[in-house]
Amino acid sequence: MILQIAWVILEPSSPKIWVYSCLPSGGHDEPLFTLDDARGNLVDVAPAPCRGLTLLHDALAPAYHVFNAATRLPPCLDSPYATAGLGFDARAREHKVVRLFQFQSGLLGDDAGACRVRVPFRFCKFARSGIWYAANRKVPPVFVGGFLHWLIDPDGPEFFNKKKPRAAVLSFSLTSETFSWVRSPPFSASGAHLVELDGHLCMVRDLRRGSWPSMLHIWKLSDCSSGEWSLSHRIELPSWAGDFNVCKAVRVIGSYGDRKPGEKIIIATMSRSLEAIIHSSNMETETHHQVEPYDVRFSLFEETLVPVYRTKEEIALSSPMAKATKEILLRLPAKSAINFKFVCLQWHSLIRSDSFSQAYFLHKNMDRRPKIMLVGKHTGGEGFSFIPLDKWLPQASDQGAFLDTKFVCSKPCHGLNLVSTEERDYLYNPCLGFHKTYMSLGPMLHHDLELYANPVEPDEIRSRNVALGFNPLMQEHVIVEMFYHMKDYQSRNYYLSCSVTDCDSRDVQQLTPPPLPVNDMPAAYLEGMLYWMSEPRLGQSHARAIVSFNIATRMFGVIPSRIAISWDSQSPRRAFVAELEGVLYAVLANQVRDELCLWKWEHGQWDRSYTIFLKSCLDYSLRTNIVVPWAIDPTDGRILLSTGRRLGFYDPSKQEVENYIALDQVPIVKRKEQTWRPGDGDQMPLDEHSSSSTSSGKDLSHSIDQSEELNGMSCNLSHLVPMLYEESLAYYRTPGRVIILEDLPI
Amino acid sequence: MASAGSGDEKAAAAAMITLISSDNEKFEVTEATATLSQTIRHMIEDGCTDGGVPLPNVTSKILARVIEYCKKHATAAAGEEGSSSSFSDAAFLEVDRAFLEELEEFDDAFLEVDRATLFDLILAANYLDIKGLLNLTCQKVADSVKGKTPEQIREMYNIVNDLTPEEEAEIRRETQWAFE
Repeated sequence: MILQIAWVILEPSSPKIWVYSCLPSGGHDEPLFTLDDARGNLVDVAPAPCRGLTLLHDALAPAYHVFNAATRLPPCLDSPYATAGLGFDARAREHKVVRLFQFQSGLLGDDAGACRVRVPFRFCKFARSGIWYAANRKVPPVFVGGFLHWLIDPDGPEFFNKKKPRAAVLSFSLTSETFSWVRSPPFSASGAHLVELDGHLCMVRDLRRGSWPSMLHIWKLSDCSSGEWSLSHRIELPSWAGDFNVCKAVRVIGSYGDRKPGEKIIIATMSRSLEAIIHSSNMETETHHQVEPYDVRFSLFEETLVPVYRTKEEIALSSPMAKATKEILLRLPAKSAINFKFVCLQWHSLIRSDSFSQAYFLHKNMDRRPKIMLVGKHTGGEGFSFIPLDKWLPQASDQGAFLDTKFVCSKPCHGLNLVSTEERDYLYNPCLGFHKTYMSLGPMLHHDLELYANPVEPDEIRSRNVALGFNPLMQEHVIVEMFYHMKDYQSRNYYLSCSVTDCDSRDVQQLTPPPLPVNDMPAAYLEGMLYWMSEPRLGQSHARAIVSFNIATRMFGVIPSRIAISWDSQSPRRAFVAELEGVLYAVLANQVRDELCLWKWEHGQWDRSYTIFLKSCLDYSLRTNIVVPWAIDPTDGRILLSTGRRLGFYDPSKQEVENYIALDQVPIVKRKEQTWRPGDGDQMPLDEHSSSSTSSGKDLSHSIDQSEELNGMSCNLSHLVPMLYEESLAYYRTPGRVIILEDLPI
Repeated sequence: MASAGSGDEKAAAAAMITLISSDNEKFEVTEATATLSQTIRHMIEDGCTDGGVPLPNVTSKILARVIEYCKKHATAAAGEEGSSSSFSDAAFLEVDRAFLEELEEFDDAFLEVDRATLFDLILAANYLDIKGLLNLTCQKVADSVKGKTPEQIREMYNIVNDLTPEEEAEIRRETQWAFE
């Protein structure tokens, strides 16, 4: 048997979990596998394997993974607190996962395979304490000698102000499926943890505080029935192993090597760096392994060929027929695929599975070519209509429908688009017709506006910037709304509120506003982060910068624009951010020279990468349009440009734009709210006389451009607006559970 | 260098692989044809093709069709690689276009089979891991079923509806927007 240490990287920004292995004796770390749909920081790893299998418990799903070759077991019942352990039933010769969890009603149960055992009344208190301790300290139960052992915390809420329990450990026999308890050692078990060493249950007493030198004591349970504990190791933590002395939790995860003289005990910190092997026999200590970046959990890992149980889904999908069915369903339009859930149970479970919607998304968007739909709103009705380009007849489009609401479409984010009007946001899957509506929260978040000396007329200053993002940790879309209650370019005063809405649960969180005010141009989403261009004409700072927002941690940051990007904030230039090919770009529009300069943010620095020359492209002149690069065609490198009503492919070699869709030939029908000018941010100096190139209503063209300001992609004057989309099966069930979507590999 | 390279290619092209169908019929194909199947490619790389490759999941009737497809597409692939240097760009494009058209015609004709055969081809393409064939056949089926109602699908493929009314109601509820 080879004993290896597996370490698991829990990356907060990604739903992936990486499991690596390394030999305690050194050597290279090898990736074992990744778990794709487990949620990073909510996962626990059993520190020691049980006859070759290791357990990962995902508290959020709530599911557990047993890995030899990674296999995911189906989620159990939802419960607020749960702890899971993996054991081996020697009599039945099979592995069992035992979940101890608490119902809302206060009952306890455990779940060994399919059967459920109720915890006998006399053990309830211990069990509650065990769950509480395991869940809070992230210590899974320990499997020794056919029993799973949970530590009972004498200082836990169960025993608060009460008589301390005589038991220190709650045990569960996997063979007889009964509970028992073990007597407390001659010290308080509070803050201790359990570990299996050399076939014995041991309790590690953490004496790092209150003793010098820093010590860990390991007490061994020599005999289960008598409950006799004896001190077997005293481990002195070397003063140079700083982390071990400061870190909140240090855990003994196991030992290796034969018997006393050569025995090594492995200790790991539970934070983010160090792991050490300590020779307990001759008091030599060596640090062994250092891993920096993320939240890391260590676990021992045995290499064996124990087969693992396959989930129902895996079994159902393993027949050749099911695989063929899946291949066919992947090639269907999204609407058909969803509709075919009604065909039979197998198709239903296939189509609703997360793995299928992920495969579907990857399959449909493999080519990474920009896909375009047209969005329109019918009078009177709620919501929007989507027309695929091939079904669009330019002549027919202006009949029957006309637009009375201004709206803005986001770029697709994990398969969904956000369409925003002044008061509402609509989350759409345009391929499915799925939609969910959210009220704008901005106007409600200004309760302390009176504190400001001169609040300006709300109508004039009202402005919202809405962005759609995706929380990789919770696998959920979020809407981030920035709302200006007032802004005054003269005094540079502004009042901005910011809120985040989780799309599935509709939970709303009001945030402290970003460190810099943002301008009115659309945000860019990239790998769990949202980015906005700052508004240099408000607030303390006169320099342009990019405001970033980490969706999972809800933290704002600022990326300064370097001097190399000679962004003179006083010049009437429009600046914004854009995501192209999975990279963040800062875009600066130079109206005088009719050029768009694109700066690429990579490896922590800005590189100038493109200049788009629009001098010879009248329809895309920056003097009369806000031109936003939407995407790059991966096949020929042409850049898809949008003016809101017109789309065209810019060919960098010819410096020409080839018109793709022109929706602006349609005469202007109606203009409802002349006064509503969403922000004068970065306003270009418009020359009334020169600005009439594209529209038929000469006198209106000025205001077209101003109303275009709201997120740039908007259009309030034509019936239809082009929108980028991704074909996906993403939607939120009511009541919700999320369909997981991965980022496309770039 | 160049001559050595083409010599190798010739040797590779000449290497023959024997495929054995489930009903024990033997098919001799070139390695270039056989390696369109990732499954067989891996077997060749692992050196376990001596004495023939048994394919217990594929009947001779289907295997013959699969090989027909692979032969055509293998020559197409070889043609693309080989011709790039010997033609001028325009001529190459012309040849390329003609070739693609021919290939498309071939594919269309290839798909003129009954439903059962088409399904067997999908199963074989999946088992042998031939991406192009899998895509071609699956797309054909997908095109023929899209827009159909679940009832029509069940009828077409003899599927029994084993969903309970409660389950159906549940699906309807969670995808309500799809029926608006």
